[in-house]
Amino acid sequence: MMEKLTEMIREYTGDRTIVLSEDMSLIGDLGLNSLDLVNLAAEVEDEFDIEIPDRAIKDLKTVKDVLDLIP
Amino acid sequence: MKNYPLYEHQRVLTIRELLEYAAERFRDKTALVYPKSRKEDVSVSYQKLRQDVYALGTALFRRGYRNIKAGLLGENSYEWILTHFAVTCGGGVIVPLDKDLSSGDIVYLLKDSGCTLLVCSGQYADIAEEVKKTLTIDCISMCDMAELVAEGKALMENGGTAYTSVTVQPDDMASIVYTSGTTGKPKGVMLSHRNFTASAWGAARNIRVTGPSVLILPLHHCFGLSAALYAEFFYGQAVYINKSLKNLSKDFQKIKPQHLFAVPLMIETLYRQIRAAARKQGRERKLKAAVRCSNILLRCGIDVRKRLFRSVRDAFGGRLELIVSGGAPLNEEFVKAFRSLGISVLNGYGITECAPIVAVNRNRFSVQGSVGVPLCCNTVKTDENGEILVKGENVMLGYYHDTQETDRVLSDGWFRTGDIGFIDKHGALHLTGRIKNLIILGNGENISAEAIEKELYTIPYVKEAVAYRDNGVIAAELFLDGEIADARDTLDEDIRRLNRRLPQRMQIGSVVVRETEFPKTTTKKIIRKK
Repeated sequence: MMEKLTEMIREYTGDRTIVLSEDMSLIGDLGLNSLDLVNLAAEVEDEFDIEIPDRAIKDLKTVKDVLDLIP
Repeated sequence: MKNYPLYEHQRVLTIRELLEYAAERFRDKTALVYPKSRKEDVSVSYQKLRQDVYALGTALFRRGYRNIKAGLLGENSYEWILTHFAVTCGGGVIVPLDKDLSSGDIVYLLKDSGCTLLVCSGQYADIAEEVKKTLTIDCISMCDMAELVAEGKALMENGGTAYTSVTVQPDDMASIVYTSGTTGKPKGVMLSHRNFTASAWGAARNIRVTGPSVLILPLHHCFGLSAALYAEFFYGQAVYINKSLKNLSKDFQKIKPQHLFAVPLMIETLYRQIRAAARKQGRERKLKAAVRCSNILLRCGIDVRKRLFRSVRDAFGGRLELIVSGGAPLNEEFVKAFRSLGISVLNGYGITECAPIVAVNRNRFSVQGSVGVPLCCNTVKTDENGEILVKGENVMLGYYHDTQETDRVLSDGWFRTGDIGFIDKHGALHLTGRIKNLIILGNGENISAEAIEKELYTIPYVKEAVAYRDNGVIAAELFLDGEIADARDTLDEDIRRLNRRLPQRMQIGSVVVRETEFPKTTTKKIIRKK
């Protein structure tokens, strides 16, 4: 799961070497913006066949928050 | 390049007149389209919209909701729009609520504005329950809207005219829109029917659109409401209501929009996606070369952009010609980048207190680096300090029960924007800075710098803090207590901990530690970066 998420997030950061840790802040540490988070949520939905309500997206702050959404 | 005559549109003075005008002029033309299910869309004509608004208004009147203030909470939807029209066209006041606010903040705004009704979407039913625990307020779910419309229709068919016979005056208050105050306390901006219609009319006179759009801006922001909804009523074009930005690509393919109203963050993200897609396909260098080549040809009067960048433009449905940007400053680089692909980006400027559009570039008169020529509904000037002042029909009535702040920003009809700029020889407005202490994010959201600093001061060894915007994110410059030896070592972790506690919109993206105290004024206030 972490590997797949790392691959996705690398597309947003443009940094192919980035290594994720669960407590990393999506905005503060990884430099994503609120719209990146919406797109990331859409990708996670497609990849893991889940549905993430829009309201849940605003609560995504760390890498762990995204991982927690994936069953 | 010379400016040219404004596009002609009839001036209407109330939101009700706007609805009437569009219903009479465009009748069966599609006004709004929204997804009913994953596979089915519903189209609503201008006439049907008016009919539904009147029916809902009639049902609300029947239940005693007359001359009320109503809070409106939910994602963009047909029901949201219906409620906005039904309340304002019946002489009531709408308080649009940001759906990302906490229930505590929503309670505060409903109480502050004196709302007696909350209309909220099914997604936010839990917030309505929370609100009811603290406030004596009625709640209507948007899920029940179809029933209310049916009820209102039946009443009207039986001769009910209580709602349709109401008259609304141009200077009646239509909405209280809360905006971040510089001290962190939100200010309620009172906007009249005249304000909204002037702003939308002025925008429609500056800009011409010729096809459908996808509504991607949240309607609780004034820019979304006035530009992406009301202005469309002068054009008579169809607006597709995007329910979630997650579906944006699919909606582009379905609707094939001709134009969009967007905030800079969206424009920047769309451009980054174009580049990422090219990179993925190993065509980034090809794209760059094609852009260079196309720009040279364009300078010679040969336009091959539509043909050359067809596959890139297909990502937006293939017909996108125009993006109007507002809500926050847009980097000129993106205006140029989209122009190279054959998509015009028109930069504009607005502020909630002006309902909100003040100036915007025009289809065939766009001044590089500027936010365009002022709308015909307002006059813009700068004072001796360069502060931008606005006077006109779009300038607010004042701040809700805050005469002191109203008097501070409004004198002789001139509104002090708190922004700094100048007007060039073409008559176009340029922004160069800000007096007020607000951080305007790329998505148009205003965050009080002081609210961020207050949070930073909860870290015990932060002695001085200044928050500002840097590269589209919230940045902080800190002076630390030198007596605490490991302050620098623990700072990263403490900022991380703070970010976990703060809402997403207040996340601190970068931190700089300074070696000396901040320079101060004679009253010992920190001198901020301009």
